[in-house]
Amino acid sequence: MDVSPQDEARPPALVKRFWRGDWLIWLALLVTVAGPFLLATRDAGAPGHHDRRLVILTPHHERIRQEIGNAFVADWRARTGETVYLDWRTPGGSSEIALFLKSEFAGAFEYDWTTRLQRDWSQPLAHAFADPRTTDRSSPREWAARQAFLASNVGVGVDLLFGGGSYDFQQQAEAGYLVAGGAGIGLLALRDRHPDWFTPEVYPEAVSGEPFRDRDYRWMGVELATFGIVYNRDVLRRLGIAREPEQWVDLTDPRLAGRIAMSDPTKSGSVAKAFELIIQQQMQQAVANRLAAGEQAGAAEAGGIREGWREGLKLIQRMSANARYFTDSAAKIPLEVSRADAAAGMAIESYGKATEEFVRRPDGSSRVGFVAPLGGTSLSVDPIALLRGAPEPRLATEFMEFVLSPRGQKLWALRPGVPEGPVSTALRRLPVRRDFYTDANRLYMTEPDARPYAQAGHFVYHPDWTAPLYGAIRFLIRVMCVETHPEQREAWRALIDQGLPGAALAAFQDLSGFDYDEVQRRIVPILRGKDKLVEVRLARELSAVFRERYERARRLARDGRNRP
Amino acid sequence: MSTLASRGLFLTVTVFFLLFFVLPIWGALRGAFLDAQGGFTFEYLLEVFRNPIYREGLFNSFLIAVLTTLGCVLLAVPLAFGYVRYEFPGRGLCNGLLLTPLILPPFVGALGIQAILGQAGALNSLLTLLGIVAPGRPVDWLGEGRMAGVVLMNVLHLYPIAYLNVSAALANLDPALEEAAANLGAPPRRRLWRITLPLIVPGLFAGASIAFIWAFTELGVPLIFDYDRVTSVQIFAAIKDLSNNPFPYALVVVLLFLSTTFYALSRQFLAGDIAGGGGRATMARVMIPLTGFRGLLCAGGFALVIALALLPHAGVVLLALAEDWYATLLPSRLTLAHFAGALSHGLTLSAIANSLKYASLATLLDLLLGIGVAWIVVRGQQRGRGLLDAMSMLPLAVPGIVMAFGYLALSREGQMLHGLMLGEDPVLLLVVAYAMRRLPYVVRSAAAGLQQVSPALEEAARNLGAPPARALWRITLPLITPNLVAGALLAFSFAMLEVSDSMILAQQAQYFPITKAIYTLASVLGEGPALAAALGVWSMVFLTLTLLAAGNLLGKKLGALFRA
Repeated sequence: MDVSPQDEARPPALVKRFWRGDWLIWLALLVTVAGPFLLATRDAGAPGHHDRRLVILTPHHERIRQEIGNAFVADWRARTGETVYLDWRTPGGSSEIALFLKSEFAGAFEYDWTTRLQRDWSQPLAHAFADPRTTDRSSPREWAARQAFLASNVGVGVDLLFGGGSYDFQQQAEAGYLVAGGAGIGLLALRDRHPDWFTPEVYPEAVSGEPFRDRDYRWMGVELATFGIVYNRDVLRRLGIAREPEQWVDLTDPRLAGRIAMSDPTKSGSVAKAFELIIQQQMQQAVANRLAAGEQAGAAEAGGIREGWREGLKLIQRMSANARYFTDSAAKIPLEVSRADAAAGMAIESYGKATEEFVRRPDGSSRVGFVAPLGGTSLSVDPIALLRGAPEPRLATEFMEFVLSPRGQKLWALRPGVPEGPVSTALRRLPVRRDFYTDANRLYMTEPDARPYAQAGHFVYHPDWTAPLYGAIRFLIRVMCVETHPEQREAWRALIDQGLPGAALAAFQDLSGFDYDEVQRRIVPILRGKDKLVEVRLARELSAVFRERYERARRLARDGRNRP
Repeated sequence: MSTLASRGLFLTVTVFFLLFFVLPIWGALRGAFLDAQGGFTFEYLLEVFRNPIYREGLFNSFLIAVLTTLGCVLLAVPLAFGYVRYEFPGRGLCNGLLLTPLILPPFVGALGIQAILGQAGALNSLLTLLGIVAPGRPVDWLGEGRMAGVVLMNVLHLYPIAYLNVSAALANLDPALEEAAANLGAPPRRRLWRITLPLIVPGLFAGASIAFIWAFTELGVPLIFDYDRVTSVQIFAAIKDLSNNPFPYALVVVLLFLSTTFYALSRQFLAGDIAGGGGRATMARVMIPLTGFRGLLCAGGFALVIALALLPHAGVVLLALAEDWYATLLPSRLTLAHFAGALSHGLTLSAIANSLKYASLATLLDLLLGIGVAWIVVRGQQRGRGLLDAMSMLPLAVPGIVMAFGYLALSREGQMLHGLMLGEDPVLLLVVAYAMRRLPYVVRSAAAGLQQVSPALEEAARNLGAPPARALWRITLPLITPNLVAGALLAFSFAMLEVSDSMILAQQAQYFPITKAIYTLASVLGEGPALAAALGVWSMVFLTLTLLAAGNLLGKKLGALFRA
């Protein structure tokens, strides 16, 4: 772009060349714009004509949406002749979806409350109507709002929520965003149509402590989800670590300092779950050890829980000290590991396995590996649910039925191209339906030897041990690790340089004041409370506490160096 | 301009601001001042300052902004001088290529930089090849020294803004003034310091103020580096935290307040007394030809800056062409499959059309509004114009995500902006949102132009009988065309590559702009980054051609203006 006024002072001979160049640019522009137009495939955007539309909110990635979606559309057209357009809404991961639902429902209910019910809106109502802790003991206005919401058909223009963690689905269900249905709609209708599905042989209610479907029929697991460690073999070799990681504790190896990819649990639902599993594993081991040592069952459990809580937090602290930094999304972790910017990180099995597959060399080896720690991870599910106020509840129910049917479940695990399998991509997930795991199906699976239900026995999830503290775990990790990460890392480096001297290490891992009981007494009520200012102050105080401890540890390590 | 007309303009512009800027962020920011009972409180704001982590964040943001602005100015001023004053080989090409940072799409830019700076990236591979770095001990550029990385990327990204504004200002400078000074015996350095620099201060201020505010509030670049001790990332983190906490809005209020204050202060000191320019060139500028070694040196300087600025682009291009780019300087195997995949994808065609639509309409709206605001601020007599000036810069300072959520909330049923949603088509909402956020570029450029053009010319036209509107259209606007073009180019490019509003306001796939399509492609497992990079390359090619075509169009027009 010329801004100089000299442009006109050109000899005529150059004008011709100027023109030709000009023409070339316009031609190039035309070709560039025409490219996508010529290459565009037929299934773009909304089909030119569709009879019905289904709006689905999902964190699932493109390939899953394509395979499952196309299969349903084809099946529906074959059965009814109608063309359905699947309007996928993808605001991002489970955190973004939770945020979306919260703000959309708040807006929709406010409109309903003020226009249809003609009542006044206020800030406390905005929090109370979707809060499961609002009861008849709360203020009458808030209770009235809560009841009105639960009785209403307020919707956000979305039919289904498909994919995410079972913890998130439980939260949404308790808020009231998800509905069980009834009278031909929702999971209740599916129960009437297929009572045999809702049995332990097909769709168990829980496995090893993890809920696989909602007791009140508001959500149901579709495919299995496990957590594990994704790692880069080249980086491990480079760091001189011969053994590939097998357990969470392997990520605390001092040689991995600054090489672990981690994500902030307050921003990622899946990472928060992984942290909870780490703590649960420690609790289980502690309880098992105490029982083996001859303690009584009740005392062993009570003591083991508290010991495991402490050990779990310490383990997380050391992992965090090894982290490069905290990313804001769990999906970045396998990418960082694959790029060799990190040696290892936590990941959902499907992400880890897919990354491993993507970089597999022709000789079969892969620089990326994935392992689900034995006894360190639970078998969990990725559910589906009907949203309150769905525009097309019957069609949504049909979609749920398809996804939960034997036909729909096969799409997750079969090889592409086989009968009733996906069309082009292997999805590499495992279905929840227990009756899927037959020899006949194994012939066509991408992983014929997968036996998820057998492996589940190694880890039993005890919801009552950590569920009340789930929010507190996120909060603690935030103040203990994420916000104080620079100080934590420096202290850890100083400790490593000095060979982890005892006094300094103890100062680093000082968790006094953050026992299992004290956290429930001091922190949980504030997190549950309505006054966010108090919460902000608490975060500040607690970060200061940990910063001080890390500083002390660093000083002790440094002084230790000066002593002979 | 008649008082009625100018008052009407003032009113229109103010109403536009109130509706589309103040209102969306008011709802969100209001929460920062409400305590649990709904009463007014400053406590959240005070908490920001009490917490050393947030204080450090503010300080770091300020430091980054200062360093970035310095870097941009130091880079842009010599380059602008070089371009406008000297004739050297490849001058025209250099000018075009200097603007390349404008066309780097978000997300993929990050992927490109990671591919280059990562531990298995191109730079480390190069250093290993050259023997500077031991194989197996790559430098972790992205992990260490993150503030330096952020400043560097900011400077490389933002210097075109300063460059465009300064070169437009230099082009507007009347060479007669410098010649007069030379005739009176002033040596070149003195001429530069006493005549030239003061006269281009408006352009300098335009560029520097935008760069400063942008760097102060920028989210994307620190996020790439996962550098979380800056205020913008802290806000982003706190918003994504789901505990209903209004604290991030307190951070936004502080950020906004500080940005406004800095801007107001700098305006007071830098742009307060502007010597009225002599208007357009009364004589043609004589370009000084640089031949031989000096010409090559000059071109070499330009080439170096361009090479650095093009690094992320190079990364994106290679990423799009590579089968798997890992631990090598250049990808070992190339493929066009990613381009085929990305360009034939169902989303792509509509995304391109959508982006073109939104960006063009937004730029048009910006030109109308921007000229109006600039007129009022520079030539008007109304009392509120200083405030209007500051407000017109604020859209840069508000985190995109806050404004986007604000628009989302206001466009719901029953809310004030619901009329903008044409059924489910968010085109008007997106155009307004884009326009609001790009307005500062056009306002600053137009204001700089108006400040350089003497009102005497317009008065002369009016004395000769032209009505005010005609004088504006035939005299003033043509004179400030370079500035308008600069502003409009910036607005259009940034609107095409816009992130926050696109991510949040475009919810249905058929309305996705390009950035959301890129983001969707990036999350395809395995191949995602490469597909996203391919679409990113397409965007870059398209924008480059657009810039060239626009420049050519304007080059001719500019030339026509100065026909003898």
